Amino acid sequence: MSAVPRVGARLLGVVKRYGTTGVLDGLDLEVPEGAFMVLVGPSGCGKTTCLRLLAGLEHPDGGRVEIAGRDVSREPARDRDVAMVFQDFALYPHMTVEANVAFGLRLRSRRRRAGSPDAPEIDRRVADALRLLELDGLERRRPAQLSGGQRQRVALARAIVRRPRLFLLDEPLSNLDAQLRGQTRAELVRLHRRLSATMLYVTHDQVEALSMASRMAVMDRGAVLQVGSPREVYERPATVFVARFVGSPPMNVHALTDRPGFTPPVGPRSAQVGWRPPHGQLSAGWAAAGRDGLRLSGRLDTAELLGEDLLLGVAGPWGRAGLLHPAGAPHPAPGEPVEVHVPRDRLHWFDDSGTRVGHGGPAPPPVDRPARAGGAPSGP
Amino acid sequence: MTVRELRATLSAHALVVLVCVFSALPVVWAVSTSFKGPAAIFAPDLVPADPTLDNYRATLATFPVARLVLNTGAVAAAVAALQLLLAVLAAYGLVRFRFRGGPVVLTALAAAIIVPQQCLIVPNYLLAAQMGWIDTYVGLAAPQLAGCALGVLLLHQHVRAFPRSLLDAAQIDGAGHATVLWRIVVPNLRPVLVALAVLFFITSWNEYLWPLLVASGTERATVQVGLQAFQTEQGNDWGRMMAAAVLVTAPVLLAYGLAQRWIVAAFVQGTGR
Repeated sequence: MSAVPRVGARLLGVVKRYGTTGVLDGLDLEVPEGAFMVLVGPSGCGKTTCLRLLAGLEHPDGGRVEIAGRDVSREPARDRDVAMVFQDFALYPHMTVEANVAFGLRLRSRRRRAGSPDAPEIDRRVADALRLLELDGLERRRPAQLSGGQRQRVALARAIVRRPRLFLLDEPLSNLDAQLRGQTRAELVRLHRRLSATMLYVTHDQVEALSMASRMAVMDRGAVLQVGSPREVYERPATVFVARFVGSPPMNVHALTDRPGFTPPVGPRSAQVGWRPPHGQLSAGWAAAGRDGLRLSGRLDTAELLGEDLLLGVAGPWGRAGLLHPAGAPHPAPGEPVEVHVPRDRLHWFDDSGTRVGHGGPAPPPVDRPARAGGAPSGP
Repeated sequence: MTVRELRATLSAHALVVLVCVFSALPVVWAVSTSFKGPAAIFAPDLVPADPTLDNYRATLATFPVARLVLNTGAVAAAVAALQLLLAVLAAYGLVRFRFRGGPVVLTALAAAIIVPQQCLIVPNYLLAAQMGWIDTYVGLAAPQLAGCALGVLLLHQHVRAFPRSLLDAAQIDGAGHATVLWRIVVPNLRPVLVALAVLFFITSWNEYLWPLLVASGTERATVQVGLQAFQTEQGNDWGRMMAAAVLVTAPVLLAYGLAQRWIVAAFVQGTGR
């Protein structure tokens, strides 16, 4: 029997309104146990609200919140056994690093909850957590005396020392500088592997989602548009929104048009066609006739150096497109006419409403869509 | 330093010195007067020509300095502490618990600051009399507690501006409202709380009209009421009055001097974050 992954946390038909503004309207989301799930979407799409609902900092106006199979919709945050890492780290400024990390455990032990650790046990666990995050030696410092990266690690230590069922991370890297962010991404993934805990990570940065997630969910305007592995989401985006949001530079999407310069491939097609910048080939000067695919002709507008590659911006009566071109290879000067060819098997097809209908290859593979209706894309 | 800069610095310092002299002069004059004999009281010299300790001797013999200072200090400390407690609880409650009428309560508090205390003297006195609070410490302190309205408004702003994520983090760490308030919010508002405590204490210490009404006997009288004894229909004994004023001010200055480092540290701590 194929193992059905156990559910770590779940939102079921969750409705959340602030005043009269609906943020979530019947949203479904499942975080498999042990997953590093990344919830990604533009700011204001409701992803942080999902996190706060799971944390117990907000309560749903409808639907259910489950953690480890238990309905916790009405439970306060402190009974849910979750830990959260905040965007601004939220370290208690008046406490030392050690006291920050130990705060939750000490509160619990004072309240004499069943299974709560005693004082020596707390000290040991705090020391372990600090060592794991390479914070030993900083126990007596206050947050104001730490660097951004150290504060971030203290926030992580505070979360892991509790050994919670569920880790919630709210854009924990956005306050770090670019270099540190890259480093911490890898550390977080390593930490997840080591703790084999369930983590839900919220970000607006699709790079973080692609690079860290074992599973990712793309949200927009209070709805989950697609859930899948980063590879699935990147290679078979469920909607035009997902296609353009995930991946950088973003996918080019054109409405089929009969304007000059736009030559779609023959055969089955749909209302909109998309392709990723690495898949376009510059064919200026040589005939692309006979090859099957999308042909665009226009003029070279911009050329941006991205390192190994140039991002070439092409403009024509049909619109604009960007494609990657090796930086060392010859290319036309801006203003000169160019022709872009995209092989048929690199094309993504979407209908009027922006929903994926297939891939340009021989047989369109099935579209990976969330199991529940929450992922239904909004209409045109 | 250019000539222009030097001139600017000098004039700024001159202004500061002028303000200092202006505010220190009455105190210096009072100290000076307390050492003058009856004949020299109205002599315009800052340093007494013929200094005497007679005023102090006579005052200490007849005037219950220790009693008055203790009365006033105890009442002012209790009033300041209770006002602070009320203000903290009210501000936290008004911010963190959304309830119908919350904004009305805030407006009412603002209105309470506008009403002059003198308007309330008669009803307060009648109430205190009926409750048997005349000439008691409770009677002295209780009506002053209403003066915490200003503190509630001030702290309301501070609690509202308190970082939301800290409150959330504490909640997830397992803290209830009491723990959040006393272990997270209050320690981080220490500078403003110290400032308020000082303000409350001084206001209560300087209270005159109410103590005059409810505690005019010597047992419970406060400093401000006691000093009044030197102004009589037969004339004012300025020398002794100033001696008494110096004697009752000294403990407060001493206390402030001892606590100064702590108070300043509390103020500074808030800005260092």
